[in-house]
Amino acid sequence: MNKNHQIVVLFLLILTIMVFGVISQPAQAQWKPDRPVTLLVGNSAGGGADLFARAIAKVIADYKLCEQPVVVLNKPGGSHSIAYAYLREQASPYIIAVTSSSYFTVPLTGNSPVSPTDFTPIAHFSKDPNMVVLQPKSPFKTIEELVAFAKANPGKLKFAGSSNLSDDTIICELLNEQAGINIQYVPFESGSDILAALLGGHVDMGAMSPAEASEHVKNGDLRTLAVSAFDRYRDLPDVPTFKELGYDIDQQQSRAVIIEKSAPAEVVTYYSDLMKKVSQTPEWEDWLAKNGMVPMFLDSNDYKAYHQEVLEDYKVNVDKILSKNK
Amino acid sequence: MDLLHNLYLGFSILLDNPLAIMYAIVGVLAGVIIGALPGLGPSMGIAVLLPLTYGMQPVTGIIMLAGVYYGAMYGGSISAVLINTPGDSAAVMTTLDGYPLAVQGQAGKALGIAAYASVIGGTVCVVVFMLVAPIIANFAVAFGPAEYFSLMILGLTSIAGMTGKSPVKGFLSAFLGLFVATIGLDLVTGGQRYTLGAIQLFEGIDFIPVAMGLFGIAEIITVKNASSDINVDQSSIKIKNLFPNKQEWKYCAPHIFRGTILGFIIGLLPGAGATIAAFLSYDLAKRTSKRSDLFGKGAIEGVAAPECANNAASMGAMVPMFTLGIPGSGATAVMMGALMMFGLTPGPAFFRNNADFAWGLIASMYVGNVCLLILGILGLPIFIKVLKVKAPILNAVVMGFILIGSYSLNNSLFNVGLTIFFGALGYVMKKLEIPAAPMVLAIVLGAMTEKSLRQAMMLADGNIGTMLGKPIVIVVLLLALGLAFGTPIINAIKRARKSSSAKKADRQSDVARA
Repeated sequence: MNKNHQIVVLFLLILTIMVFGVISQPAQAQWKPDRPVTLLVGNSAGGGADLFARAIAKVIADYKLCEQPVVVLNKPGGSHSIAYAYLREQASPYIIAVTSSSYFTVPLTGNSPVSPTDFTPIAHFSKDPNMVVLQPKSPFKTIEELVAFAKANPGKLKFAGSSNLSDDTIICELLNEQAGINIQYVPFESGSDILAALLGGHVDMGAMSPAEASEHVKNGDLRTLAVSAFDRYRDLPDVPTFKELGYDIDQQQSRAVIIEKSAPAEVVTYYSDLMKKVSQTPEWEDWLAKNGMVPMFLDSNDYKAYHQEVLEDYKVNVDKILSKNK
Repeated sequence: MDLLHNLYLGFSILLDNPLAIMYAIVGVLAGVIIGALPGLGPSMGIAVLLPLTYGMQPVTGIIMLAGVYYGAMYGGSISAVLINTPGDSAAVMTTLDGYPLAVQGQAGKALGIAAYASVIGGTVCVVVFMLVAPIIANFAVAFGPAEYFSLMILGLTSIAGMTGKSPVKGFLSAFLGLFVATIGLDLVTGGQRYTLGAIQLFEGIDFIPVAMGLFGIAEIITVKNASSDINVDQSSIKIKNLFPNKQEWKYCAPHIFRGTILGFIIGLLPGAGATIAAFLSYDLAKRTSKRSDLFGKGAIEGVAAPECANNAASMGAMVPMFTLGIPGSGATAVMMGALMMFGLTPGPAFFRNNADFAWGLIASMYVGNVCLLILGILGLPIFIKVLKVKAPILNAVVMGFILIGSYSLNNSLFNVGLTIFFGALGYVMKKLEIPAAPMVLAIVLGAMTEKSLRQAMMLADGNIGTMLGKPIVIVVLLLALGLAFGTPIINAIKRARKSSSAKKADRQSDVARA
């Protein structure tokens, strides 16, 4: 009995040491950057992703969250794919990149040398809700009126969205599919082009960021149809979500940070923790709110699963659009 | 009265805040330098200086950024005139007459008129901006894809004015430019066109490396080849000589007047911007000048016209940005980002909700333009010293600036290669006497023409009649037709009359003889 007791105690002791050893091991070998970190951006200074990256870098610098400086580097071109190709080619633990929707969509169109599977997700920051707005003189008061008109006049209504394949395109396609209508999608180059076309009444409807739209909506220049998001937009609480109107549409841009896939786990963990600290500062929350983004922070583990889910979702929708265009 | 009161409010905000005036000067100075460096344009300048404004009051910050904007518009002309390399895209047209003037030893005069034209264009437009900004903002959105298409066609007719001696060579250059404009991903289908699988070409070829290659590098190679140094007439650098004389003012004044109006209107239209304004203004000046044969060989009004137009356009672009939240150019887009960062959302209610800010800014624009004039004139003797540098050294330095500038556009070596490629092409074109300006214009306008045509056709359900049947489209297209065929038709009629009257005279003399 006594002997047994000793053995059990000894066993427990060894076990405890082992467990602690295993747990404390990563803590001892915790990776830290020993040179400046590059935060890569796929568009030029002043673009949406660029401002996002600069906001992250600023929070990190202001709160001294990282021992090393975090420097934003712009590699514009190829709808951000030049930057992702550079990220893969460098395969460095000191280079991470911010992503936008084109990270998922462009590879699916065959116009990118890389694919999301080449990278490891570090952290997911936020979603950009999409507001579907109507031109100032639009006769439609409700989505039912709009759908009824579209049914009677196929192809007559024009929907302005950015680029030939984006979240905007997917929203238009899903609306067409679920309502059994045919609204014509017209690609524009930027949010401000879409806004100009809407204000001038050149298109019937369009997708916009709520931050861009809200001033015009409050002023009565633009009317809203619905918002493609999980919840109503904070600044425009009267606008229903598509879900509330009975449509399964919540297409939104994910803003996240990634690294090349061969990066060791402790590197990924380091950046994931760093980004988590960023997401918890009041400045960051403030910045997101000002730019019409809705926080949805996921650390590297949680984002891995969600990354896969988002990728599958894009695959289905992009294939639909591509096969229709053929 | 209300207006004067508001302006008074604006100036009192400025006077309460002497730092703001200092930052206006700093902004203009930085803008002039950034504008003068090849490849660095106003939008990059604003983006780079943006972080400096983080700690400032919003008014001060935006005053500085606005200073960078109009400073860069003038700065671009410095390198255009002195080294035949447009410092930014809006200065492409300034090279056409500015550089020949410099070669003739008139660099001081050319830069002088560029400064005056810039400041006049800018100041007049501040007044217009102040008076009518909220009213005319709506005019800008009346331009949809179909209207843009017609405007681009009008722009393309101006190629006819740039063909030089041989129209065939001019059109060869233009078609080459149109071809370059088709490279990249198709906007509608996303299909690749002439990309050779290179992702760097997916977004098309930016025309800045093209312009730097065709104008800058080609010039350096040819100068070396011809071993011709630019003579600097020392007397032309004296302050007194920087004022254009009466005769020159007489040449320039009407073009500055027209260029300012044209530039402001083009600037209002989102997506058109300062570059196209400068193109159209140069073309207008050439068409309406009494000495149009001198254009391209050093006509002083050929410098004044594009320079006032690009500054006017930069003011025009601020109208839709502030009143509608639609930035009309890359630079205003970055400025709008700055405004949003300060928590100020541009839009219809902007002037009402942020009166202090808006009028402080307007007051600063007057101050900024005065700074620009003073800096432009006082700085001239320094700028012109550039020409005293020996050609081999100057060329090496300029080449360095061009290559660094082309790298910094996208942080990519690909653009450096592209610039060198177009430099080589430019050299060949120079030797064959094919003008480069039509190619650059075709690249700028070609992509926008295609984009707006396809959008317009989609909006018109593929019916070209519906697309062309809009009033603005009809007016602009008729104007384009008139410009393209007007002169030849009038000439033909004149010739016919002449020959018929000559025949009559012949007949009469025949009769008389008989």
